[in-house]
Amino acid sequence: MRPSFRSDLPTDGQERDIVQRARSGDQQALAELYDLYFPRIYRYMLARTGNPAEAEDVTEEVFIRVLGAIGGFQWRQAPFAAWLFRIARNQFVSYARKNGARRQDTPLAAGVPDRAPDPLIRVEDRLFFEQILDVARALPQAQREVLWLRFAVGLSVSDTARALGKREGNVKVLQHKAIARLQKLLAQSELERAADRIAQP
Amino acid sequence: MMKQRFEEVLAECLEAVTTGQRTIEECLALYPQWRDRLEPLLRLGHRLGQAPFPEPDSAFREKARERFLAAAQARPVAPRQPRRFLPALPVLSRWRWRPVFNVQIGRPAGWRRVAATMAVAFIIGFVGFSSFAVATAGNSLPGDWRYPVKRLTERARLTFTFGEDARREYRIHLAEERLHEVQELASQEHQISESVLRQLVETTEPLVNALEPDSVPPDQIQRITDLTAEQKDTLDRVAPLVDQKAVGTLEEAKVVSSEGHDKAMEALALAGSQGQSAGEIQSLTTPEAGTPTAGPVASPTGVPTPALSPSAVATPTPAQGASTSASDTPTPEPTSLPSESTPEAPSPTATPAAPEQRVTFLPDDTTAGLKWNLLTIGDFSLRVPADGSADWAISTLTGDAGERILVGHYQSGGFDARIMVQVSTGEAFIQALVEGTVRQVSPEEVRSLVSGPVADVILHVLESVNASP
Repeated sequence: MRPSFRSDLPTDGQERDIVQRARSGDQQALAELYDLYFPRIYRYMLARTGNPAEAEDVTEEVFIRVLGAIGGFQWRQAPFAAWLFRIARNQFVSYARKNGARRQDTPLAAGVPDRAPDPLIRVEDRLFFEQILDVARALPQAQREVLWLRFAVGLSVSDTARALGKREGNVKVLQHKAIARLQKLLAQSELERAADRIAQP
Repeated sequence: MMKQRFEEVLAECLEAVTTGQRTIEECLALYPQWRDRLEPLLRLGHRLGQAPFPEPDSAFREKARERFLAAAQARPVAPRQPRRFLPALPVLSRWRWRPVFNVQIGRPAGWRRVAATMAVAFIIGFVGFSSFAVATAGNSLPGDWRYPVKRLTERARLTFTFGEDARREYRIHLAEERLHEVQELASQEHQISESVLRQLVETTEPLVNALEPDSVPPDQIQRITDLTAEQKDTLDRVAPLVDQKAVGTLEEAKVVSSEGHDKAMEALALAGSQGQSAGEIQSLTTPEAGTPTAGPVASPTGVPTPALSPSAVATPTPAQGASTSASDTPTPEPTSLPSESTPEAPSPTATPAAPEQRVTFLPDDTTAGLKWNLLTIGDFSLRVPADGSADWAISTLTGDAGERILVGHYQSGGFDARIMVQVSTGEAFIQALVEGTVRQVSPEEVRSLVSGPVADVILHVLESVNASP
């Protein structure tokens, strides 16, 4: 069984210590933060852009922005993850604004690397991933944002709310709508695939 | 009610299932009344939580990590000290507590005891309420009864913040707070009133007006850049929620954030330029693309230059070795040409006048999909992206080394590529951000360091440099 999707997050105490040192310019702590959050930011960007190369670019830009902003981070305003993903979200919005027209035509998940050890799982996972990315495009933006922050990144409802500047109740509603809608879209997608298979000689 | 409850249950179960605290079956057993509806959503949510989102390419991740750490070393994180509302109070333990009134009144009568109790209760209640209002006002939004308390607290704190940098820091914080309030109101789908936008303008405008690259620390310039960029995005997004009466203020706010962003970017360019002495940065207010007129731009020394008619625009003769792409622009005969056998610079005069600057729109030049201007400074010219070419900043810098022109491509809080041209000599340097540091690169390297369109612009600027020594 695969480990829980949030099992690699540090405890609050550990994270506070790392962030505190990073705020003071400790290079080791900055490296630790980078290692902790790079995969998550990348996952979020991959879900948002649907393209690994773009996800890499924007992820890198997010960390450069973090460097400039972390000195002003304050715990009492938001947990670190919520603060970080707020930056990530803004960076994506800025990126999408600049590259809007080009991004619309980006092929989904092209070149996504395979990493699962078992080839069978790899194919199945990849298909599921591509299918999710594909059908999620039909969701309203607010639902998509909640979906990716909750399930691609692994943020709690509370942190998702803070990252998006929404209330927790609002995030719960969006989460419910997103999953319910996704379920219908996936079923529809399965039907279409089945129809394609039957239609093929 | 029922709907809300189901969302709560779903959220609780998803959290428990994705973090491994409960199995799906355990959750369903807890809420049997929702079983049919809950089960498919929980299974999908669980699968999403376990979904094999691809990991970043390890080689890229390693290289990006190196670049991040190099950038961290090049630009050390500057911790910002928390600002105190009031100077620290004297240590209370040193105080000697004494009765305020030294009056022997004996045992109070019954009414006195009641009155004293009520007075104490009132004081405690008043202090408690005031403390509550002050403590919770920080998160309040316009329209909330605590909001005036929040603004009052901010004003008091600003009054007791001393030092130019600290006050500017706090003013930036206030502008960020006003922006955050607009975002919060929009997220709750509240109408954005005129007064909310007015406050945004009034906190941002003074920051931008006082943005002098020589005196503002780079981290503050960076914050103002980020602030204005986010303002631009936010104002575009919240426009449908803006009160009809506030449309004019919305436009004003957009102008302030847009112009503020341009100014902050220029300041960043100067802050990041290597070896630039404390000179003067002069923004180039280029004419609107599409208006092929020529006119003077502000002189770096502040000395007004006389207006020039469009016919006075001249493209200087190309310098030795400098190719020109100006064949599609009118090139009137120069009045005098320097002899090729005398490459020496003209003999200096005692007080050289500031060179005349002109900007001419080039409608036929669409290199890299941008609009272009011809910038002429005295006997010197080069092509630069016109206003409205997003992500490109153009500035003139006047320092000990003479006048320089900077054309930079702005990306995510910094310049990834830029061309610096020394006007007096016609010498052009290309600089690029390589592994976290800015260094000079050759034209041949440009394409391997920056994206195609950025390289096209940089090389086009370089090729267009014309100087008559």
